[in-house]
Amino acid sequence: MPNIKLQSSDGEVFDVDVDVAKQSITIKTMLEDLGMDEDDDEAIPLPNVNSAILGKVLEWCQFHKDDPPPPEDEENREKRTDDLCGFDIDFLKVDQGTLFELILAANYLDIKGLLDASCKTVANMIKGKTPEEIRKTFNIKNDFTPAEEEQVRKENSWCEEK
Amino acid sequence: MLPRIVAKATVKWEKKRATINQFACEVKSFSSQYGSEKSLAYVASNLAGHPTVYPNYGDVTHACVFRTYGPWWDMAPSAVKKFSNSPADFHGQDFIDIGIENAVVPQKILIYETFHPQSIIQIFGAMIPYDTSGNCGDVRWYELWSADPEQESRFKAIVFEPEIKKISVAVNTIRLIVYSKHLEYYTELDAVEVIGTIEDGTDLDEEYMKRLQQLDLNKETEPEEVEYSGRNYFETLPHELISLIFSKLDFIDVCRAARTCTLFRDHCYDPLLLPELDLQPYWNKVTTQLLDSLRETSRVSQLQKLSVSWCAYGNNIGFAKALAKLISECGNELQVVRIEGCSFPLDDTLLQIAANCEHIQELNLSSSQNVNKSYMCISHLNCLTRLDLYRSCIDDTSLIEIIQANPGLEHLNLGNVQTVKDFDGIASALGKNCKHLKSLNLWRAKSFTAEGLDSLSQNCQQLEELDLGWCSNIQAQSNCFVTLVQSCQKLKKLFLTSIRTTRDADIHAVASVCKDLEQFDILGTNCVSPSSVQKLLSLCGKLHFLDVSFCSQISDEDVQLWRSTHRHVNIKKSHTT
Amino acid sequence: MAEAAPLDDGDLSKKQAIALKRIDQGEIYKQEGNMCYREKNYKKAIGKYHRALLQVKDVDRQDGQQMLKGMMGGVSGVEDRSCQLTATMAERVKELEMSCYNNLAACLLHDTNPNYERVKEYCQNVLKLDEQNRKAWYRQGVALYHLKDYEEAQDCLNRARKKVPKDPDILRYLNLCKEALSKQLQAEKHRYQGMFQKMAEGEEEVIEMDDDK
Repeated sequence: MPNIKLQSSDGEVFDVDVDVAKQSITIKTMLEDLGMDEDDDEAIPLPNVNSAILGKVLEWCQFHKDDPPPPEDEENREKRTDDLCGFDIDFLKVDQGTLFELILAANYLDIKGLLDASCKTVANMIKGKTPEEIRKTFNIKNDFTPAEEEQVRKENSWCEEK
Repeated sequence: MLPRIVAKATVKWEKKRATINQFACEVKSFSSQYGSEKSLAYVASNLAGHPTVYPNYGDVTHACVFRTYGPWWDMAPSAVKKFSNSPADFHGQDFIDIGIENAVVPQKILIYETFHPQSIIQIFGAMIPYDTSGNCGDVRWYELWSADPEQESRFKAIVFEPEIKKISVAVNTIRLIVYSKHLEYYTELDAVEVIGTIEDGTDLDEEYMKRLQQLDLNKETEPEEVEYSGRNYFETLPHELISLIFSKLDFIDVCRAARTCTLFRDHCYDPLLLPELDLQPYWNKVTTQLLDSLRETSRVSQLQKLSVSWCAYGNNIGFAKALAKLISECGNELQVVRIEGCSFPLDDTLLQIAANCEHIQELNLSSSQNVNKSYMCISHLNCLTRLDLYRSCIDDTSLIEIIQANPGLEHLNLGNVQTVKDFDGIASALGKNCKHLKSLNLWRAKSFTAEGLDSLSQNCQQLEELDLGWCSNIQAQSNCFVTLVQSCQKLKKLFLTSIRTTRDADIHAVASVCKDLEQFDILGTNCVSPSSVQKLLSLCGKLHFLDVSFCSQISDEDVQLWRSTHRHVNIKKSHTT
Repeated sequence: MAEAAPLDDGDLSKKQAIALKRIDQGEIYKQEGNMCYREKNYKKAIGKYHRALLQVKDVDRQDGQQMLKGMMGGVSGVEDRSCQLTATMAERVKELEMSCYNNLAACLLHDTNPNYERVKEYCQNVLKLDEQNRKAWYRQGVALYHLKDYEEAQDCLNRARKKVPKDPDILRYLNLCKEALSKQLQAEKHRYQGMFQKMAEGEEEVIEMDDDK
C-alpha cells in the first residue's frame, strides 16, 4: 500500500496511507497530477495545520476511508443536523478550540465530510438556545447598542417563547 | 358556511369553578377531505357533534376522512419535494380546526378514532374571536400536546386521550395535526370531546395559583450581562465558513442567533442564507410582524421558494397585506410559492405574484379559498410547470386562460374543484395547450365524461399520473379507458376510484399495455372479476399499490391469495364495520 | 490556558511574520519547480508547485494559535478578524498562485496522456485572478480543443491572440479548430442527407434533430 508523508506546521511528519490521505481533495488532486509515481519521498508541508489537529484529521480520514464519495448534488441533499454517525459524534466531542480548528483544517484540506460534520456539530450547539445561552456557549460579547438590540429583538419576536 | 351543530354540553359546578364537558360544535377549517364539498360523506365536518360511529370500527361515510394516507402520494409522479432547508422534524400533513361552544381552560381532550387510528401527532388550542367574518389578527396558539408518530398497532376504534399540558388560558378552538404516512389505510375520526374549566369571579383556587406560578418560572429570563472569559472561536473563522454553519440551522434558530451579536446578526440577515423559506413548520408562531421585518431588513431579497402554508388563521387581513407587500418587494426571483390551507384573502397576493414573479414555476393554492375574482391574473404567468388548485374556487374561464398561457404545465391538481362547470372543456384546453402534462388530478370532477378523457388521450400522451376518482359520469362502455391506456403508455398511477362502470375489458387493456404501472385504484367497481385482477397482477411487474376495496366481485379470500402470491404489491381492501 | 491578553500591534506582527515566512517558502518552492521544469522533470515540478500553493493557501486567514487568546469580539464589523496581509504580501500571494497554476497547466500538457479537464481548471484559476492572462487563455484553448469543444477553444485562443496576433502556436491551434469544425459540419451534412434520402425513398422516419446516436 503506497504511502505519503504529510508534515504539520510544527514539523511533525505523518506517514499516511494514500487511500486515507485522498479523502482530502487537495491531496488527491496533487496525487492525480503526479500520476502513479512515488513523489520521491519528500514530505508535503501543510503549514496551516498543527500536529495535534493533523493527527485528529487523519484519524477521521482513516475511519472514513471506505465511505462512498459524498453526493455532488447540493440541491437534493436534505439539510439535516441529526444524521451524524456514531463515530463522528464521539470524534467531535472535543473542546471548542479543537472543534473550530478542525473546521479550518477540513476547509484547508478540502475534506467535505469532515467539514460538514464539524459544522453540523457547531450548528447543533446553537440549535434551540436563546441568544443569551448562545453567548454563554461561545463566549460571545453582546456588542449591540441598546437601540440595535431592541430593534433585532422586535424583528425576531415571533420565535420568543411566550 | 358549514352547518352549526350545537352539541349539548354538560356542566358541573364546584365552588366557583365549572367543569364543562362538550363535543365540537363545528369544524372551522381543514387542509383536505376525501368527500365532496357539498356532501356529507367522508367530509371534515363529520368531526363535529357527538360520536356517530364509535364504538364501531370501519370505513364509513359519516366519519371525517382526509384526502391522503400512506406513502403512496410521495411515490407518485406528482410528489412534491420539501424545501432543502425545511426542518426535518416537522411531520404535519393535515390539520383540522374544531370549535367548541363554550371557551374553557382545557383539562382533557378526547379524540374518537374509528378507523386506522394513531394519526394525531399534535394538538393546539387558541382563543379566536367568535365573529371571524371581520378582521382577524394574529392568533396565539398554545401547544397542548405533541409526540412523534408511532408505528400503527391498533386496529380498532379507540378514544385517544393524550396527557395535555396545563395552560391557564381559555380556548374555544382546537387544532389537530394529523400524520398518516405510516397507516395502512385512511384514518377516520368521529368526534372530539373537550373537558375544561371556567372560573367565575376573581377568586382563584390554590391549584390554579400554583399553575400560574409554574408558568412564570418558565418565562424566558434574561440574566444580567456577564463578561465571559474564554475565547470566541467564531472570530477565527472566515466569512464563508460561518455562513456554512448558519446554513445548517433551522430558520427559527437563525432568528434567535441573530440576537446574539452584530456578527451573527449580519450573517443571519444575509439574503444568501435564505434562498428558500418554509414557514409552514412554524405556522403556529408566524406573525404579520415577521413578514414585515423580513421585508424591511431585505433578508429575503433573493428568495426563490416561499411557503406560508397553514400560517395565519381566518380572515387575517393584516397578514394578507404583509404577504402581498413582501412579494411585491422581494418576490422577483420566486420560483415556488405555496399557500396551502390558508383562509386569509388572497387577491392582493395573487395580483403581486402576477406582477412580479415572472419566473414562477410552481404555485400551490390548495384549500385556500378566499379569492374573489383574482384567479384570472394567474394567466399573466407563463412558466408554470406545477399548479395546485385542490379545493379552490376557480371558475372555468380563468382556468382555461391560465392553461392557454402556460403550455409547460406538467402537474395540475383540480381535485374537489366544485366551481368548474365543464371539465370536458378544461380537458380540451389541456389537450390543445399542455402536451407535456405529466400528472392530472380530477378527483370528483362530476362533469368530466368520456369525451374529455378522449381529448386527454389524444393529446397528452406524456401522462404518468391520472386521478379520476369519483368522476362518476365517465361511461366506461365508450371504451375511453382502453383508448387512454393505449395512448398514454407512460402511466404509472391511475385511480378509477368509484367509477362503477369500469369493466373487465378495461382491466385487461391496462394489464396488457401499462408496463410502468405502479399504483392502481378501482375501489367500488361492480363489473370487475377476480380473473382480470389476476391478469393485471401477473403482467404489471412494477405494481406496488392496488386498491380493490368495495369491489363486489372480489372477495377477501381473493385478496388474501394475491397478498401471498404477489408480496411486492400492497393490496388494500377496506370494509365498513 | 493563558489569561486574556489585549490585542496589540505585537500580536498582529507575530501573525504577519508567520505569513511572511510562508510566502517566502512558497516562492522558494516555485523557483525549485521552475528549475525542474527547465530540466524537463515535469513530475517533480508538479510536486513543487503544489507545495508552493499549500504554503499560501489560506495564509491570510491563519489562526494565531495560542498567541491570541482572549481576543474577544470587541471590534464589530471586522470581516477578517485574523491576520491582515499587507498590500505587498497580498500581491506576492496572487502572483505566486498565478504562476503556479499556469505552470501546473504547462506541466500537465507535457504528459503523454494529459488530463485536459484539470488543465482547464487550473487555467480558470489563473483567469479568476487575472482575466487578461495570455498564457492561461492559450492553454485553456488547447485543452478545450482536445476536449473537442472547438467553438469555446477558438474563443479562448482568440483572446490569447489579443496582444500577439501572429503567435505561431496560437495560430496553429486556431487552424486545428477550424479544420475540426469543418469536419464536424461535413459529418452532420452527411447524416441528414442520409435521412432525406430515406424519406425520398418512402421510408417513414421521424427526423429528430436532437438525435444523439
